[in-house]
Amino acid sequence: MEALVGLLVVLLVVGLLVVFVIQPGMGARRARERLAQETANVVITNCKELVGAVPGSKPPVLVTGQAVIAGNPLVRQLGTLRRIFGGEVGLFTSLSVWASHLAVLRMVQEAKRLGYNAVGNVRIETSDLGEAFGKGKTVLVEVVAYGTAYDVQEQPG
Amino acid sequence: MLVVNTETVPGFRIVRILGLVQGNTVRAKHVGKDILAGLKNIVGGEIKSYTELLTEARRQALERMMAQAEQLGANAVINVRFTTSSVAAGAAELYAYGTAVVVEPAGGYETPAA
Repeated sequence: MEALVGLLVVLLVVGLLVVFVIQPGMGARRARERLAQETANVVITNCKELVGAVPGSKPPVLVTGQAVIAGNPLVRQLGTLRRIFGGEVGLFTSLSVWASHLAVLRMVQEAKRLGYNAVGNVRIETSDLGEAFGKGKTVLVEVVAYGTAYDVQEQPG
Repeated sequence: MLVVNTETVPGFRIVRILGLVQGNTVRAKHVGKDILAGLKNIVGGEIKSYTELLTEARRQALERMMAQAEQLGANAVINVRFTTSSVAAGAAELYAYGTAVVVEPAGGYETPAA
């Protein structure tokens, strides 16, 4: 009986660890795939001007997208551990990638919803909301992506 | 009102610069929604209620910025920038700023309303 309980506890811990390790990478990958789909026929650039583009039927407009992603306890612990020897915290990187891809995705979706086919002068900003919303105990990454949506007749390239 | 984050507006000519306009808001999280967010904090992942809160807050900051531009008699705000910062425990500040200008169409567009 005790062995069974012990086994269940071990399985639960292993399961949680697997979920915690896989989750940020999975989220980042899913967001990247959806971003690739959504941006298939949209020009996105962080250049100030869209080279060669001819203004279309609609005047340019500001579009934004944002995402707030929380880190799981493993991410926090790894972050703390990493402080000893330094180096990249892979799970943390995945978390940031996940948030920024989601933010850009939402910005592009807004542009498409409004009937635009290009976004120029894209800016991506990350801020730490752990202090504001997480009482300093949780990892909270906020990313906002914004740019100017254009309706261009002839796309550059 | 035309709002863009570029320095110029394709299809329009800037005829007058009216100066810097800004809008900000400091938002605290909602206790009820925070219980769910607290649960999500345990497993990690996107926290929809915070995303929504910041989307709404950013929209309000933008609206305040646009209201200020309107008072100056502008019909466009160019070079808009956003910043987010933690000002106190439990609150985040969202700030939007840009340059209020008067534009007139240089292409086929109509003059934007203020």
